[in-house]
Amino acid sequence: MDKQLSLIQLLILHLADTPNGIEDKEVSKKIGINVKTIMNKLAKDELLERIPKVGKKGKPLKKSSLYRTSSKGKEQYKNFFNKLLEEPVKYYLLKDKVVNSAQVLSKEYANNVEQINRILKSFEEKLDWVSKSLYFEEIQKAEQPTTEKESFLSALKLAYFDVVHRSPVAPLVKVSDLRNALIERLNITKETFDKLLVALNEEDPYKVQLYTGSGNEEEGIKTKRGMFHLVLIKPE
Amino acid sequence: MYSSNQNKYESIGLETNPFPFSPTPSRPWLIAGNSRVEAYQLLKREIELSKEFNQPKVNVVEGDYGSGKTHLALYLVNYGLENLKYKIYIATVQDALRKPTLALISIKLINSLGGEEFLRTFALNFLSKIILENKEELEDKGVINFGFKEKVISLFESKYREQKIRTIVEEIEEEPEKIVEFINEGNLNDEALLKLAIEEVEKKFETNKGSLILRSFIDVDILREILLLPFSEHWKYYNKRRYESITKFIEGSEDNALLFLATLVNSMKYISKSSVVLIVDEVDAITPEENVQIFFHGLRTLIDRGPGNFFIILLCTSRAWNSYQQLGNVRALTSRMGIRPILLEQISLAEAKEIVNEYLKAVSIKRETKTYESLFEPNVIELLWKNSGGNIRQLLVSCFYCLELAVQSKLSKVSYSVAQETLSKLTGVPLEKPLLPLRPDSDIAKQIISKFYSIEKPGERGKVLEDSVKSLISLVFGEERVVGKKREKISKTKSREIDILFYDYKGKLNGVEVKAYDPRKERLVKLKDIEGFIELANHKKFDRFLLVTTSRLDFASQQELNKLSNVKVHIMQEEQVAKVLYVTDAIKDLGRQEKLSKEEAQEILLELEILERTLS
Repeated sequence: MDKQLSLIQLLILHLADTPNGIEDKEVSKKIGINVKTIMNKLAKDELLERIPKVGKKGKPLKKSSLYRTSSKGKEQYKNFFNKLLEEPVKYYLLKDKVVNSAQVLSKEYANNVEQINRILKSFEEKLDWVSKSLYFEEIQKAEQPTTEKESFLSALKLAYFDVVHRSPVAPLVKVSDLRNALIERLNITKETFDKLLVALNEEDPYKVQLYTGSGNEEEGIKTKRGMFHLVLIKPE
Repeated sequence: MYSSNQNKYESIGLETNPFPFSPTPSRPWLIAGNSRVEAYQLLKREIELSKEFNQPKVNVVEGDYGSGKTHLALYLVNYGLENLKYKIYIATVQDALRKPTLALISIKLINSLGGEEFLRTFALNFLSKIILENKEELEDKGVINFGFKEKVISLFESKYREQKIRTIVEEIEEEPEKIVEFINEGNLNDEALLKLAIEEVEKKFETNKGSLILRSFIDVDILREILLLPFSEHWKYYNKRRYESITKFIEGSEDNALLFLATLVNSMKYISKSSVVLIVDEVDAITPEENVQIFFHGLRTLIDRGPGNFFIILLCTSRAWNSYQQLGNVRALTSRMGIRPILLEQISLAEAKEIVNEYLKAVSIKRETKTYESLFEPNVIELLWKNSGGNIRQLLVSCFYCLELAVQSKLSKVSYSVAQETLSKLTGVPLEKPLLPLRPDSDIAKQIISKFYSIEKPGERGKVLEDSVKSLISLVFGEERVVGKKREKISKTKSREIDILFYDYKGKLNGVEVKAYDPRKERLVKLKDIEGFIELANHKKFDRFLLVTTSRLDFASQQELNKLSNVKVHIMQEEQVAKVLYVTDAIKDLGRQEKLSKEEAQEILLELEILERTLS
């Protein structure tokens, strides 16, 4: 039965499983602790074999040597890895490689995303511009008939708040007072004033309120609901 | 064609069409829409202020025709000012033959409260208040009489006198009408009671006739005449024309009218310990201009000199208020108003939706599911609102016809096309007139019951129900067969009264006793309450005896009545009470507003077991 090896020992055997061998310093660096003693012990147990390190001139160096997993050692760690830890250790060992390649890839993706964003932004700007142009066109078209009404309402409000201070029945004012004030200011006819006032009342009878009052027909305003002489304009 | 018993509105999830068919407000207990709620709250605050400073106050509610002025007034009088006992609503002061003086206002004020009958009850309430407030001194002041026999008993039973006084006071508190009975039986001393009342008034009020300002003034002579009204039949105070002499005095001069108003209003405040509110509707109807001046001059005098804590609300169209501004007296009154008239503006779309929903909710068969909210399809209310110009009446009337058309067309909702068709029809041919069912819808029934049981004294409440039952009997058997209230002798010295006496088709004499104790307060009919009725039945004075009651009988009364074979007891359920009061228009503004036919009255009398099935 094989001797039970620790995880560090198994890891050393795996790292040293290279054709040309590996220095104990390099293994220590990779694992993160000094493993020289452990490697010596593994060599004693014939799980690692010592290979003389070749110097620059091609001659073997006496003081330092390389370690390589022996066939016995290979058998030991592979058995174990195959059974339990092959994949996680493999991934652990692959970690650096994966991180590196992920960084490379993410850079690539980031560039792509940036590019897409740029394209989308310019597309959005174009769309916005198109929609605005369309909107303004629409507004221009739609405003043709209501411009008069809108500007009339603004003028009506101004005139109302001017007249209401003098009205004995405030907040109501006489239609005729408002009419007199606006006909001159807007240079419109009595009929246009009446038509626009009735249209505004029909659109929102709360915003432009009409009340029955006293006076002759000329002073009032005729609607399909009858004759009204008083008006109240609600502020926004 | 639907009969009056079928509900044709069931298919649209309603008990009835809740919207008004005629211009009069149909459901004045509903108040919705911010502007209307705010107007009501403003008026309520003003009334409270008037009470705080003991000043009279006048305010104007202004609005176009159909803007809800009368609705707001009726809401105030009947629902919004529940804590006030005296709220008077005068529909109009315009009278083609008389000028709208203070005298006319005073007469209209009494008439709107019930005329002579009101003053009579008022006098008893005033005396009852005097008795309650002075219960400790009643014996010392000689108001309560003790006979020789009673004096002897009290020698042996020390608490006998105390017990008797307590019983009399309690009975008077529950039923002030008993004062007359106690005086007739000699238990109360009339002269001492009147003397005590006048003494109390002199202590609590200003009684000097030379007073210029009448904020807390009571004219002792006028009050005495009012207090004597319930005793006009009594040999000592016999005067069949006392009420006429009071009205004649009022009409004598504007000063007399002012003295009377001050006396009445200040006495009302003494009884109720709260403000008195007077609402005058249709001020815009006063013509010609001279009458407008007279009316506003009267009000000016009332504000300057009249009783405090008296709040007057005038309802007027904007049109009229505008034209009145040129008149001196109107301007003088405007300056005394302090705040501007409250303008009931045209309503907004949101308010329109809220108001319509309130009406639908009131008669919805399944209120909790809120299906009524989608009864009018989207945009329909907006269409109706725009067409109404923001006028509530026009909006509600068009809603009424929309529902009618939807039901006629067998639709489950009011669609846009129905609304359009209705609006076009409204200017042309009216739709089929709806049939009014005999039973009020649950919303109206709830109001009737609440109003009925809010009548404080069970005696007054019983009188209302008694009048209703009597009118049903008169309709079925003819007025000539109804004797009405009758006192019958049961021995040489004793006589007992029965509420309604009538001859049926077979010529049998039926005696009906009506009791209206509040079942919600678990006030049962006690043996003491029907003593007279049982005695009459024991003497077999009539052929058939009927006891119609709103509450159950206690054990002792049941046992006594079980012994009598000629007595029938009918305990009225709440729905029956509401139905009887509804068909007979007994509660103001909550009637069926359609004349009851003889067959319909017969149907109700059968239900009440007053009419025997074989006789029908």
